[in-house]
Amino acid sequence: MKVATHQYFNELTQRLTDQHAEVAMLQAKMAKGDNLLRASEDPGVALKILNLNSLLSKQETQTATLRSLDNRLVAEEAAVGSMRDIMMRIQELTVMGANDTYSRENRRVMAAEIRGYQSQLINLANARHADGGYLFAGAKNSAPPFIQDTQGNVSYQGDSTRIYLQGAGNQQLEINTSGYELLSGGSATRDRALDATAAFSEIDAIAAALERGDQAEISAHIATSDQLRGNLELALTKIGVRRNVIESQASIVEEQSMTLKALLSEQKDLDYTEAVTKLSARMLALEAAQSSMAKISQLNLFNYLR
Amino acid sequence: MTDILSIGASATMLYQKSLATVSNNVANLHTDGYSRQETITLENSPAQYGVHYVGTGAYLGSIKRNYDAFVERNLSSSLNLLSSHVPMLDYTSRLVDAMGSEATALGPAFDKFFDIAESLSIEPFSIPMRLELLSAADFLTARIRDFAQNLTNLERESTQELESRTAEVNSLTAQLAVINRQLQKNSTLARQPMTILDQRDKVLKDLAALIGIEVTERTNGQVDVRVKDSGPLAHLVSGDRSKALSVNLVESRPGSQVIVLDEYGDNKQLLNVQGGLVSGLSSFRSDVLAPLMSQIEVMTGAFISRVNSINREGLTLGNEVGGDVFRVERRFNVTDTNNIPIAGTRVTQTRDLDKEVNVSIVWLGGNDWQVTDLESNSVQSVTGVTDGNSLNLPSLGLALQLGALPVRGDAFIVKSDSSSAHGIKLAIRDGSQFAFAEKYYVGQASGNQRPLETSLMQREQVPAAGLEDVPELTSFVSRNIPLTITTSAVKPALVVPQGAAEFVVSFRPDVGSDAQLQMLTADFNHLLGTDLSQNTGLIDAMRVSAFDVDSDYLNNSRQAPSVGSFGYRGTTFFYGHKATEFVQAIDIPAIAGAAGGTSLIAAGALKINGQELAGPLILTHGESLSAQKVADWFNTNVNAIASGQRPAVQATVVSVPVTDQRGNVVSDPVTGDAQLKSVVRFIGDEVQFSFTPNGKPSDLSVLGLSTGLYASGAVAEKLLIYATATTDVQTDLQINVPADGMPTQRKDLNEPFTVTFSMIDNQLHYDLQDRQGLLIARRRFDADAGVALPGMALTFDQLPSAEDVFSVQVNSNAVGDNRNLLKLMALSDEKLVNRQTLQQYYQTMVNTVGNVKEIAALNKATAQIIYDHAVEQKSKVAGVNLDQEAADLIRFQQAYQASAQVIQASIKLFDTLLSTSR
Repeated sequence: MKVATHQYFNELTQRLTDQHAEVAMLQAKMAKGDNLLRASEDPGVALKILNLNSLLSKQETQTATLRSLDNRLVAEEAAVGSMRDIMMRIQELTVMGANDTYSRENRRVMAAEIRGYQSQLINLANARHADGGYLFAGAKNSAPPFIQDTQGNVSYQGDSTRIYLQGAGNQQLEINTSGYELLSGGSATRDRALDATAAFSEIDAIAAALERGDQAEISAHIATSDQLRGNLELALTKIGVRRNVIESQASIVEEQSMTLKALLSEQKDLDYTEAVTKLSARMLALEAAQSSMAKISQLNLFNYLR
Repeated sequence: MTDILSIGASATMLYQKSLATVSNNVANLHTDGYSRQETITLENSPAQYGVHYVGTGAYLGSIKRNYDAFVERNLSSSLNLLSSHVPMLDYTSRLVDAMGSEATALGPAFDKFFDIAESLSIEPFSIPMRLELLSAADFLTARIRDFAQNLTNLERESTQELESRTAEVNSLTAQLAVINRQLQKNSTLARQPMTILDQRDKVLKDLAALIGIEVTERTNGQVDVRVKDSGPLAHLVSGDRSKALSVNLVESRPGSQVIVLDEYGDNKQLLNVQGGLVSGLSSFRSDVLAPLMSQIEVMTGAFISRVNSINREGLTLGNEVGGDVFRVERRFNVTDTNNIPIAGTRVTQTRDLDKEVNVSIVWLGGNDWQVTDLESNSVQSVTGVTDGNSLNLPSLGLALQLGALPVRGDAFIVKSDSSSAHGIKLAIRDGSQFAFAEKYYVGQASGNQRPLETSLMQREQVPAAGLEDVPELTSFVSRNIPLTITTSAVKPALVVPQGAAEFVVSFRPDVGSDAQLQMLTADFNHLLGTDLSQNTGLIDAMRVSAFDVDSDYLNNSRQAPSVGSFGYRGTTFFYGHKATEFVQAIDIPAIAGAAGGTSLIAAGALKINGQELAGPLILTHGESLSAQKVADWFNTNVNAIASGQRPAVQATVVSVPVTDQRGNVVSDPVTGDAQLKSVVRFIGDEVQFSFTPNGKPSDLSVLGLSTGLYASGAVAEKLLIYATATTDVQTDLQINVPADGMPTQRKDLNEPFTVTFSMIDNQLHYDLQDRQGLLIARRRFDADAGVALPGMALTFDQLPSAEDVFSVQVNSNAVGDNRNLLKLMALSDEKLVNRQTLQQYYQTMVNTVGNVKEIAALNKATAQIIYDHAVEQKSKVAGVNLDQEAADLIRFQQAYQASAQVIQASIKLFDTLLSTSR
């Protein structure tokens, strides 16, 4: 079978340039460390990489959000915990005050102590978060939820909107505790604005009863002060539960992230061992092609014509 | 004697030519398209000597061109196939690079937007984070615009390539025509010069690379070329004539094009080009690029509209209802008449444009411009104010900033488009305009049995079925056509939509009729008319006819017809007849008194400006009612009112022309003068006729006046107007609505509502009260439908109890409310386009292009193999091999030397012969 000289040279040159191009590409990949230099090399893989990146960034955002939420819950826990402690003390004082062993004078001192706790409670209830928002105001958290006027009456300026977060797997996480939940009397009445201050009126009543020294009256308040403390305990527990949920969600997210990162690396990162092996093979082939071309192309009958 | 000399001489000449041919082959070793030439030596006819034949040598039979038509055709068609995959592969690779690489893909930009939205969900009030979201949104719009621009650039590039390839085709076919002309000179193939044949084959091969062709070879080597599979008339080259191809773009569909043969000739036809670069380019444009361009439009459009509608459902940080987040900016393009863009021009719109601009404008001089609409081809002259470089064309709604001073006769083509993907931009400028809080807040009051989960959903109320065929006030805007109806206590005559601001509905019942106008709200709240609360049968009939089945009849706002002026929820109504300056009767009814006198208007039936007209209007037996009679009656009764309270209204008789129904003056047929009639004119600064409990509209008809229901101030809810009478009659309603008396926008809810539940007849009902505490509706409660509010429905997770009270109010200052933000976040998982989420849709787009690219790559690889094989085959037949030529060189050299020896031998023979004779 005849091979035209022209054709022969063309083919050889074409093969040489092709091999050269392949070597150059491998070198570029090794320099960059990427499996794909351009998306068009393997559109399927490129798409997978895009997809994985998208999922990863979502995971990262979720992790950050959960962390930020946890910070807020830590602040809430601290404030509610202190409020609960105060309530416990008030309850203690109420029980003590109902007891015969104390004098009128003692009771007055107790009343003074309890009145002192009023403003502390308000401050705690108006606790703010690092970003400036008020923790216990429902959705209206740009202004302090509990306002005390000159007469000492407390009113609630927040609302009872429940705020949710979209958790992993389409779960909804309730994230806030409103002033209503903390400080309502827990009674059957449901006026959100009114009941959020029930605790304060109750504390006021207890202090007044202690000042009056009427033991019977004081004892009547033991149950309600217990209820108030119970509300705070409940809120505290809820916060604790939420933190646990967040922790478990965060660890799920972290696990998923790790899996995704591994998958991504598989698709995106260059397998150096394989690449180096390929490179040496290609370079060998290139060398062989070049030297053989140099030799064979000199073989020509014309060389032997005198 | 056999001519040894001539044999030798002819042989040497023969081998000379052979050597020349071999050297020619060697010289053309690397000539593209060269076919190897071979000398064919033929034996001379032998000479006969007695019974023997002696050979007479050889001659050059022909110089053969090593050419195999089959191999040649194979080569062309495989090149055609290979070339058709090349553009597809190139362009789709570029597309995949743009769409699939992390730096330019759209997916990450969407991700960034939604991710930041998610991190905002804990602190939706955070200004810095809202700013981040704003810049992520801006970034997203920039990416989308870049992507769209990229596609446009590819479209332009592929157009240019298509045009240049078509030009190549045309130049090749022209060359072929010239070649054909040269081949014309000889009648057989064998006689044709080989170089021309080689050239011909080369041109054909180049042509095949561009476009699929069918070649018919004539006996003398001329070729006729047709476009493959396009019918017998699709000649590209026919003898020495060639036809040109042209490319026509379809402007309305970017990425589409039509290839036309012989566009300016007699046989213009559209082609279905197969194979070759041209077809590859066309396929890329129509199969990949055009769908992609429309898909990105669809995706962007859906995204913009969804985000905007979500934002409009919420409340911004400033306690305002949210507006659009994204907008589409119209793009303008100014070119000269050759479609080349003019640098430095800018166009802005000076008013709202109702359709896209597509015009050509020419400056006629001064302020005169000629505008040609390029779609309808209509031409008009307009005024354009030129001031240096700027040009203002108010009638087109455009202002142009030109790059240079315009010269008289200058023509520009201005086009606009509102492509979503090219024009998407932010419509808000600061982060506080994101509306993350819900618009409304549902408060649960003290005394409620237990706390309930409430939910407010957008829901438009469906109008009651019975109202479908009742005319609406909107159809009467600025028109003066009466509405003819039959009075009915059950079916309303007219529906007034919420927001209608100024209107009058009036009628003129016959004298003696007891017809009245009545008005109810669409919630069955009776505003004007007689109390119906005892007539449960009528109430039920009315409810079925025009109201919701759950509505209860309310008459707490009901006003008797004698009320005159009254208000309801911000609108002022008046029942009677009123005007400023004067009231003029239309005409005086023709009535005569019957025996014993006829009382037309009872004593104290009417009021003028709030004062009773005490006396009756009585006609004596045979007396006809006249304008004078009415005027006298009126003035007497007005003057009878105590001077301190007397209204400053006087009645006079005036003569007015008679007009027909269309308002044209009726003339006397004989004299030609206008016919006149006498009517009463009541003159005063303010003239208001209203009713006492004794009065009715027909009383005003006696005076020649209509009775109307006048409204001013936008009505707060839909109203139904009835015309009722004891005996139903047909009557005309005149409806007067000025153009600006109609609502252009629905009033949004901005006042609180209170919902109170109660048990009525053992069924749960609820009352709806406005912020003033006015009861505006009472309905039976249907748990599935919930409480119907304007544009919304309030539902509960459990049944409310009797005595429960809820309030629906604007959710002001709820900066921590993220419920509308959650809706925005949910958008990333919503099946927005084509039953796919945004990300899925985009990935499908990338995937499709990627698949096309992979298939093109495979196809190209296969075609390459086939082509390489064809090239090999050709080179086997027509290629020059140096070794072979070298061998031939030696062979012919030897033969030449041998032939030269033959000559020498013959010379020796001759010498010998010569020497014997001396």
